[in-house]
Amino acid sequence: MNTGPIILIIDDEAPIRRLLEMTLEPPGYRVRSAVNGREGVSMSGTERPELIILDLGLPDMDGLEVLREIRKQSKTPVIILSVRNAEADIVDCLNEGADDYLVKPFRTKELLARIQTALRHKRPDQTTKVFTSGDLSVDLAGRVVRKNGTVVKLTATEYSLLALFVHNPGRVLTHRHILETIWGPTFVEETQYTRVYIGQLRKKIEDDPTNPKWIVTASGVGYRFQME
Amino acid sequence: MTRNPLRFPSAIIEYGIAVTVVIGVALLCYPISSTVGYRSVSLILLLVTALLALKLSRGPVLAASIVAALAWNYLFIPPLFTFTMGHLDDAVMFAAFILVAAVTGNLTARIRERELLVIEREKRTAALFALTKDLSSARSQDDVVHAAINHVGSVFGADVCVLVGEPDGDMKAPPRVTGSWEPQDHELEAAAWSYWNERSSGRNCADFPDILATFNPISGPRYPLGVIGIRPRADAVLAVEQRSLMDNFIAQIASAIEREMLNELTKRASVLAETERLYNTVLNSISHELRTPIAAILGAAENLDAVHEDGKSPPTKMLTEEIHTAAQRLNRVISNLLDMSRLESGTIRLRTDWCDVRDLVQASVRASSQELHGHPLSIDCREDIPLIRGAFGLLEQAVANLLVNAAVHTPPHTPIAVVVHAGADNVTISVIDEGPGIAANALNHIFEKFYRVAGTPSGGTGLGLPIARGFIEAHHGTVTASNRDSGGTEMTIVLPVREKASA
Repeated sequence: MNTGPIILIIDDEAPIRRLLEMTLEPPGYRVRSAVNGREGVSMSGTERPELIILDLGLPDMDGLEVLREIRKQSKTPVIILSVRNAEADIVDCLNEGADDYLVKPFRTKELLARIQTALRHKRPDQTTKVFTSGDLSVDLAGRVVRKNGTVVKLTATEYSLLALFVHNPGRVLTHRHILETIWGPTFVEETQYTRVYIGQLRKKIEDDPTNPKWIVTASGVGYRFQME
Repeated sequence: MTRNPLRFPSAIIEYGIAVTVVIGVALLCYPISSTVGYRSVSLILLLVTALLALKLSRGPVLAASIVAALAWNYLFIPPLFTFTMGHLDDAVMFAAFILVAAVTGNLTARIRERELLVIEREKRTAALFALTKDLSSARSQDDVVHAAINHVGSVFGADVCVLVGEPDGDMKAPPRVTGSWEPQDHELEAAAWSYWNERSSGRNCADFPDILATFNPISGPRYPLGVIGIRPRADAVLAVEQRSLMDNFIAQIASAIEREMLNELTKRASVLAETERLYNTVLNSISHELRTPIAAILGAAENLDAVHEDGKSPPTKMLTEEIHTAAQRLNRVISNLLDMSRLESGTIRLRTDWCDVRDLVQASVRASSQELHGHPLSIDCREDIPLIRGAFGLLEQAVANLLVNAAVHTPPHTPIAVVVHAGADNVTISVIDEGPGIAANALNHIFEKFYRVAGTPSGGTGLGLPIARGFIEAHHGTVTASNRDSGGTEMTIVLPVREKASA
């Protein structure tokens, strides 16, 4: 009998549900399934899942609608399942409060990683003072960043950007979210800021800025801080 | 319907001219008659009659002869101012004068009439020739009808309309009409009757004689093709010679219309055949591309379940990898088909945003990592490449397609390079390989759907490059391919930079 967190799957396609169950049960998660949006919304209340996997291609309701209904009731982390070339829908959902997304067909390893990230984020660990991964270390209290032991000089904005990533490891951050957090609500359309500053940050902390391993681009959506 | 510029009945005028001229000349000769003698005057009057015959018809010429004779008698034969003749030789001369005048006049008139006939015939031949010339240079049914309207209009002074039947021999109601006049309902009735009965109707015909227009059927080899309607502009009757010319005209026009109809049918048939051929080729190609990985998946899946005779378990890792690879290939084929579909239907709506080109290249490399496996990859991207506006996903796909193409068409382990440059008002991304290059005459064709360079291994949907071009062109950019001097191919994307990001 599994005792891990309850995960609610909202997907109308039986093969996807089976695939998700096969993937989630071995690590110990408890899986509940809903086959359409209405059922999903109601089960999100009754089953009290710790995480929801929501497929955008539902027959009865728009995925965004389902998300809104869920968000009215709770802050349960939601991972969106979508198809290719639907970046607009994904961004809309992320802006409405979804935590992350996966594009079908996805790798099960990625799915498990995202689930872990989302669950971890739900229980924020504000006690971390120093973040270390590989040869990068960020001292959040002292605002010092070290790479390979050497101090890296970052501007205030660059540091804020890095800190935002460090506080959200593995989670996708949309341009809008980044702009809103770092620059403020009036800057949410100025995506050139994110591009330029991310570029500069990469230059300073990545071994190979053209092949970044920390700050990874999520095509058309935003960025993800990947950990080792 | 011969053209007559005179407004009054011409006969009266001609008689008037004849008598006036003769009397005028006679009076003019009066003063000189004493010098030259009255007999010479007769010759002058004879000449005048002959000259009049060149211009007037027979009746007036005869009248002129008689008036001339009488005038000569009255004014010149003594005793003067009487119609009596004193001498016998004068009486003989008088009689001879009348005869000669009449005969000369008649002959001259006949010559003139012949001449007029010849001119008339020449005009008709010229008209027919001009019509035939125009008809033979017509390139469509509309051209034919145009020519018909022009020529029938100018030669016969009539309006033309052509009603065309359907390709299967039917005539719609209301029928398709082109021409310089629109037939009314009662005229259409006559036209339809002509079509179905393949006989003329209208004015001067047995059927529907009370309408102004005439309708003549255009008969094809198997069934009627249509109807030509002619409606005279002035109320005139078609002269007999004109009637046969009209028939000739109609025959020429009918044959030209038939010719154009057949041309049209042939063209349509060949387009249909070509479309079918292309359709079949595409279906076969897609079918193959989809079925091959499916076969691999099914085969591997079956084997996973199998128990070998010697009790050994199947090599699961290898089989699952096969399933994985085949499934990814299937995914790529389907993505390509969907992308191509989007491009064809024109539903690409760019959601543009600022894009970092380095980011773009990196994303493209990751997207094509499976195909690039084994090829050493180098990325040369300077730091000052400006941000460009575009749809990240589409641009990523385009670059990825170029990378996949390079990987698939070059031998394993050959290097592939991506070079990014910033120009004055553009950004170029080049994918360079060290493969066998592309035949010069194929360089532009490779961006066409389903094009395969002869001799290259089949595989892939043949859509990767066209999709890349489609996506780039949606950004007002260009993609070109060229062979490098040092061997290999270079594919270059040029994207315009219209605004600079201010950050």
